[in-house]
Amino acid sequence: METRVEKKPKTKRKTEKPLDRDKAKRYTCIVCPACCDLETDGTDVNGARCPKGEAFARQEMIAPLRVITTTVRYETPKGARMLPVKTSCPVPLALIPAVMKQIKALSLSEIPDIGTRLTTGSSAEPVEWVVTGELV
Amino acid sequence: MAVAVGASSAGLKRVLVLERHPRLGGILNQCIHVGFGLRYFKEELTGTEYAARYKKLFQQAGVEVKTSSFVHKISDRKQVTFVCPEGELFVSADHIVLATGCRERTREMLTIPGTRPAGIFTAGLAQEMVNIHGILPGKNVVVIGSGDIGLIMARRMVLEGAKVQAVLEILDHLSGLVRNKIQCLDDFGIPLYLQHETLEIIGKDRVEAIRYRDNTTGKENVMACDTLLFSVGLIPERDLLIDAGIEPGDGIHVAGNADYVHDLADWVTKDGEKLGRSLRSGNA
Repeated sequence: METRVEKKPKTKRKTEKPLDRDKAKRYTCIVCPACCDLETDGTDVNGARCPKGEAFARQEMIAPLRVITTTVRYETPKGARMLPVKTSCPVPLALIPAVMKQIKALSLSEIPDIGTRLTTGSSAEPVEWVVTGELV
Repeated sequence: MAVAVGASSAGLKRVLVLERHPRLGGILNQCIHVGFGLRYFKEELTGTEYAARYKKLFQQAGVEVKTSSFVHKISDRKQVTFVCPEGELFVSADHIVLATGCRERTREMLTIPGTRPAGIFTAGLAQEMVNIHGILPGKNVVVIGSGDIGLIMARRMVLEGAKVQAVLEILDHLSGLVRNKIQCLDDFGIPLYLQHETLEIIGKDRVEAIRYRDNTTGKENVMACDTLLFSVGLIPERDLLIDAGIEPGDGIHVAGNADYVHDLADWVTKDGEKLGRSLRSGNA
């Protein structure tokens, strides 16, 4: 049996930066399956193998952001069909329940193509969604 | 699809893909979550987007495909029998590739005592119910096993309005990816209990509770719930070969998750393409 080991990224871990110990927090990066162990004080980041990981750690300290993926119900004479969607950009973790309520209230008049953008929420705080699949 | 794309790119002229479902993509069609494609497409996609994008590559390769075609027999190492809307048909080939993926291990394969009430699902079945059919399997859920699908489904059930009590894992470590534990359990405050063994399923018509033991202390406890999701491992699907009494090799190949369980769909694609290319050069 062959098992594949996650390839070591080419970029080496940078040398440890001195962090502000009072503020320092540890995170595990969720940007990719490498799952780097990160430590940050909000300015400097240790442990990241890529710039995306550094940005993730800084953002995680302020307010965690996540892409929400869910489905929109589309009623057909043959029964309900579910259309998969995701938010077009990450939204604050704390807002997930509110954003889920918005998308559950959305009703579609026609079947959009994959890649179509949908909008929910108020005009002041809109949430944009992308259709990620097709209905059969 | 990946094997066919690989074989076609290497110049193999006559390739036929038989798919039992009406559409291509397999289990990716019910994977609406992100986390796919970072390695293959260098972009984070949902499973459905990954399938749609790969389907374009597949269509460009111009491979013949028959959907709604269920293969039920392989004979003489070269003949495939399948059932499709036109009836039962046969096809012969120099190479037969099983790209049949995995099955989920079920409650019955774990010897957990107790009754057999309604409300017990594998995580993948629950995923199909929620994401394809729009049916919520239950409201008060315990996930048994910490495989990736169980973690993903714990989050999915919470988003759909269910309560997920906990994820119980008998081992002393997580089975799935760490990133899935963080974004599926930690983000939603779902506890992961390691070294917790499920001892009994309680309930007459519907699941009412489970009895479990914390193996670090030996203490037993009961947790009320109406639904159990099992995420306790995947088994490569090779029943066609087992039924025919044949081993891979000599024109019979096994690809992707039917070969061994991969942790990322991207590796399945890459392995499949590699196998496809090797069919032309005659190395396999």
